[in-house]
Formats: sequence, C-alpha cells, structure tokens
Amino acid sequence: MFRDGAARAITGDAGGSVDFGSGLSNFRRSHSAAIQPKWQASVLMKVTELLSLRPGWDSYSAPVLKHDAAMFAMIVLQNVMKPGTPEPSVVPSSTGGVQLEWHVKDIDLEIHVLAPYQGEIWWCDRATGHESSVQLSKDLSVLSEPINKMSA
Amino acid sequence: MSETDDGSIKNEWSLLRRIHPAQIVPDNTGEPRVSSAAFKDVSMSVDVEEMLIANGIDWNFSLKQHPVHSLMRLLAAVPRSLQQAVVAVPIDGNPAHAEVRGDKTNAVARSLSKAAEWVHRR
Repeated sequence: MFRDGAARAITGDAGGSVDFGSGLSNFRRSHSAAIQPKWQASVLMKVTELLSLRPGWDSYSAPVLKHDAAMFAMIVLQNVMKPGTPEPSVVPSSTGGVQLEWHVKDIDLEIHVLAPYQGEIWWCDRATGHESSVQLSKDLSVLSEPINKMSA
Repeated sequence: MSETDDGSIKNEWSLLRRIHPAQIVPDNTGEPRVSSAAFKDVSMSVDVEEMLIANGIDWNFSLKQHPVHSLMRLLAAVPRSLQQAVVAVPIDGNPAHAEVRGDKTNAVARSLSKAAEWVHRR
C-alpha cells in the first residue's frame, strides 16, 4: 500500500496547510533538500524532460506523456525506493505512459504507468527464472522482493 | 491493403522500427539496450526491409527524416509467434509501411525488444 498521504497528492486531497511564515518555509525547503534522496531530483529532472516531448516524438504517432502518469510514477517510486536501491531508467512509452525500469543484479523490473493506478508491473529474476506480472494497483507489495534484491 | 494478417509479409522478412533516444537504457552490463516501452503500441508501425529493397531503397530510407532516432530489425515471425498480426499498410511516400497489430502486454513487448537487433544506433 502507499505510504500515508502519498496517494492524496495525486488526487488533490492533500488537505490544507498552515502558513507559519517564510522562516519556517525556508527551513522546510532546506531540510527537505538535505534529506531528499539523490534519485528524487534526478528522476524528477528526467520526467520533466519527457513531459516536454511533442506529439509524434517517437517518429510515429505517440501522444505526449500524460502528466498524471508521470506524477504517479514519482509517487510509486516514493513508496518503494529504499536506501541502496539503484536509480531506475525513466522511459516514455508510445502509448503516453512512463516506464520505470531496472536491469541490475540479475533482476529485470519494469513498471509501466499509464495513469494513476493503471498499468503493469513485470519482473524477472534471471538467477532463478522466476517471472511475475501483475496489474498496477494500490497494492505495491509485489515490488518488495525485486526491490529488496536490487537494494542488497 | 490488408486489414488482417494475410501472410503477404513472409515470416523471414525483416521489420524495421525506429527507436527514440529516450527508449534506450543500460542493461545489467551497462551496455545500451532497447526498452520494451518502444514496442507497446497496439498498432505498431514498421517498415518491411524486403519491400524497401524491392523499391530500390534500403534501411537508410527509414531514418532519412529522423536524424536522432536509431533503427532496429526483427523478423516478422517473432510478433506472429506472440499472437500479433503483421499487416501491410502502404502509405503515401512509403510503400513498405506495415503495422504489428495486437494488444501488447509487458511480456509481449519485452519479447519483441529482446528479439530486435540494431541496424543503426545513434
């Protein structure tokens, strides 16, 4: 399941916030920057680049990357990344989705996000031959095993 | 133009697909590989290499207007083995245009990406 509050960000149900003044805001920004994992800024930069692709970017008829798919991919990462998890490749799909993928330590993991809670998770352990594919949903527990193996 | 796979494109013929730079990712050895995300279109456009050659041109035609894209090749037999239809769809200026039609799960897209080989990589 998603960590508390994460899914609300995509649905616009984030709730109100109290303004304690610019001093606190500055502190919070600095604090966030200090504790933010490196992958966040890097992946956000890639996602931002992909959002600037124009229709037909694949030289065929690919639509632009869907904003909600891109943001949901970030939320999925926020919920499953651990210290030591390698940064994923962020790839646009010809269907307007975004695919997060890793090919490390005998693990192939691909998360194709078409829209919030829509898409597919596929992973394979090349060492054992085990392969698994499920629809993307609120339940991200299927990602525990491959993420743990990659993060070890 | 065929609406369904009538076998007019032979199994041993090659299908050419352009690849955007953002769809090339490192594999487990760090070598560049094509992402399965490049093979998810329900109606996936390709050029048939043998049809290009029959028209006196070659794979360079497929990249002529696309200076940043790479090009991959896979046999028509591969998508057919994955329950995809391979259909000739000639268009203005490209008599060799075809489509690989069918729903493409991640497993299907991945099988297509694994079977594809580089023709020209930028």
